Amino acid sequence: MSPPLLSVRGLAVAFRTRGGDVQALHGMSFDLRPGEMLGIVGESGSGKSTAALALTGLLGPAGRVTAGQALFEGQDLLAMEERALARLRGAKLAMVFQNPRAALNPVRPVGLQLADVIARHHPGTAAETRARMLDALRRMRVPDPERRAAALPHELSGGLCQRIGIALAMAGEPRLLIADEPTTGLDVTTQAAVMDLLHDALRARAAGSLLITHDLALAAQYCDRLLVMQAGRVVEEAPVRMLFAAPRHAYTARLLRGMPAAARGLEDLLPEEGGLPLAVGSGPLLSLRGLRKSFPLRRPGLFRPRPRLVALDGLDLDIHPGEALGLVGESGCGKSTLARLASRLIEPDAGEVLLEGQPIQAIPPAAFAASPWRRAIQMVFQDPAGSLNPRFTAFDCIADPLRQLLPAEGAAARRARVEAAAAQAGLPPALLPRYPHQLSGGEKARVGIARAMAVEPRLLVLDEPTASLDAPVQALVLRLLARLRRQAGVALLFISHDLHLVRLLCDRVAVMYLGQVVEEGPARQVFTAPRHPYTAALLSALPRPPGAMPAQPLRLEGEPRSPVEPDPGACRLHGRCPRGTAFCATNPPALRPVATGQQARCHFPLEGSSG
Amino acid sequence: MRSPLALAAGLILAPLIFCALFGLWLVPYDPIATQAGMALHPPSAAHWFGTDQLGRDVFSRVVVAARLDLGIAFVAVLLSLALGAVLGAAMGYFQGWLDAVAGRVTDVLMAFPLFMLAMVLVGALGPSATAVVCATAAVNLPFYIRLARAEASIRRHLGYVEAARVGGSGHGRILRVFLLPNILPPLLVQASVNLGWAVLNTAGLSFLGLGIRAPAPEWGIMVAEGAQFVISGRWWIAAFPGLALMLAVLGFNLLGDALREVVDPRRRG
Repeated sequence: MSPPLLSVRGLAVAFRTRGGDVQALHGMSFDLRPGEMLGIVGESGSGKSTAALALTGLLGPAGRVTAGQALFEGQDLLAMEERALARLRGAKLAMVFQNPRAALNPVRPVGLQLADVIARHHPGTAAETRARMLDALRRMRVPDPERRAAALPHELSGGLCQRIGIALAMAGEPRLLIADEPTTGLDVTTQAAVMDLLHDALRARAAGSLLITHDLALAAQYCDRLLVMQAGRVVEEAPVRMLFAAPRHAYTARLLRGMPAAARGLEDLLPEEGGLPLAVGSGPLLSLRGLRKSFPLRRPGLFRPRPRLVALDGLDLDIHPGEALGLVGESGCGKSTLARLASRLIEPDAGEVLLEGQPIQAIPPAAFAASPWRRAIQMVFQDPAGSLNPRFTAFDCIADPLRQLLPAEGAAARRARVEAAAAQAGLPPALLPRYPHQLSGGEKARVGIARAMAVEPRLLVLDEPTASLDAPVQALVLRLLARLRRQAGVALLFISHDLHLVRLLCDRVAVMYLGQVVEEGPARQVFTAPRHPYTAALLSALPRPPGAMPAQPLRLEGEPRSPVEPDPGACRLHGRCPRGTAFCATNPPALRPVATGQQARCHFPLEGSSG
Repeated sequence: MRSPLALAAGLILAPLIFCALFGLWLVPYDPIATQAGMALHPPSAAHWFGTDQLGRDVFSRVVVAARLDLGIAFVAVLLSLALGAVLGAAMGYFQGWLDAVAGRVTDVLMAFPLFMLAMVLVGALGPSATAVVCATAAVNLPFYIRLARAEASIRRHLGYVEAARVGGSGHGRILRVFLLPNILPPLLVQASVNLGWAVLNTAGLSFLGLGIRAPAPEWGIMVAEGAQFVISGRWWIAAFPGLALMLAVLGFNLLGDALREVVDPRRRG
């Protein structure tokens, strides 16, 4: 076996805080062999990023390495002088950061930034450097590299910025690359494309790498070995397959259990008896008919017309009483706009929202807030921390909508309702007098759910309610939602970019792309036999743990079209779709049935059997 | 006190505020009564800060003047804080025409040199403490409006504001219960720094003969009157009120810095 590329022994890091020193890492040890990708996984606060910062000497003034050594090609990274370490960084030792845009200089064209690094390692004429730079961009599959090289970071999408971040890191021909959550802010299809590129680039150079991530499924797909961290300690280290087949540490087992990607059904995450209620065959609870909503953008010039970003473009959707409808799509597809329209935070430009057949647009907004309809639709917000008033206790947060919507009730009845809602959401009564900053992320999410449930709504709109939570907490919230549905019979509109969560929780799923529903049907059916190429691409981009069913590989080319003034005459996916023809460029497809209960917006849907 | 800044601010401001509250009843001499025979005496055991050209005790006048100077500053700052917070928060929350109109008006107000604007306003309103209060409040208003507007427009899309709307709260209640209490901390920091400026503004106006008029004990007037005697070596008439003024401004600025450390998490050590 070859000697390790990086050998870390007993790495300990402490942070200075107001309350004294806090030990963030307690003696971390591991070896990384050349060409190997080692995944460091754990929940937030487990010390994964601290390890990366300590190894690269970027801990900052508050952090301090208290013990340990890290041998990299015979040199101890922890004992090196700042100057020598700086020479090493960006050459033999490279990094890829979580926020790619923040890692680039915002006022210098990205091509020049890349050329700077290339020129440092390969001195040559300006023309040679430029050729190398364009070649590097091409290798990262940046479309139209000549034009993109002249762009500033803010003019590029997050995915393109991260490709440039990787090109920058690879430009020094590193022996070791440390990637800290490199795809966390990216959409699932972009994540798959970026990770494929990173993996291939590293493999081609036989460079070793550390992939730091909270996403166990992602680490499992790309890494050779995994290091599981908890509270600053390595609790388990094993090859991926062994770790998944037989986790030795209880914490690893808990992480694996909480992983939505691995769960076959909600039962895996939800070991509770009692079946879910079936959607009743009555009329829809909420109908969205031909909804359109666009937002004005900044004028490009003084006398030029103001362009409009079309967030929803003729959207139809029904939600039946008691059902759980999942809405999936990538960022910018209009799912949050839809959530806000459905809960009447904003008004549509065209189309109508029918609540039990009644058009609610007919009621003016001020009267709607006071009407009984307001209680029927409640919402749970994306960021549990930001959605609670920092000056209210948990009790007041839950009681506030009750005060407004049920003003006739006395204090005792209100207290009883708050306590019942808290109990329903699994929030212990002892936490009710606490302020939001005294609660954990999962507890804040429960307060948000209890607040929405306290007024006994018929429909709960959930806009990415678990996006900022660690996987085990996510699983708990998911179980809670399923239980609420069973006990209170509330319908759920569950909006998420995480297809695994939707698969586990929902009976029906709608897939959105650029303001339209492109596929809709029973969740199990859509996930096992997608008919729309976009759905198939989304599913195949999902990281899969070992043992899960492999998906048919389908990657979309290029970047999504701009939602600003879209071409009304073409299929939205035209140009990216491998099945697209010239016919798609001039004929927008309509949503039409492709199987029982399943509809797709495509002229050439995939065969059901091939899925 | 955990922070040395807060401790220093407290040590400076506590005696000044004590003088403002109780000085009137504690001073050894009447601050206005003249004693021709005692004119221009240097500091001594009987007159700690000496006497002025009319034989008045400088120490008594400096102590009593704290009431007028600090009082005007407090009332003026409180006025602009209250008005600015409400107006700015409403502008930031509703945006639209109110924001467009009020925003341009504040821009125009801010285009004038502040002290000149205050002079014009006091000149128009006539010499009185009320005029000084109104002028100081009006000149500062745009800063509070801007700050409150910025803070409110960040928060109008936060989950808790949207949750309040889904929970059936009207716009007025959202402003009162959800926005104003949450934007108050940064406004209070601004107010504490602003207090020092307001004291200086009050003294500056009366130094120029606008606003408060002699013989009322006021630091600006005392410095103005004492300035002509500095050249003949009678430094104490102008120096002690000047020192008091300097300490007041320093104290409020330190207080502002200390508050900023508490409010702004990025500057926490």
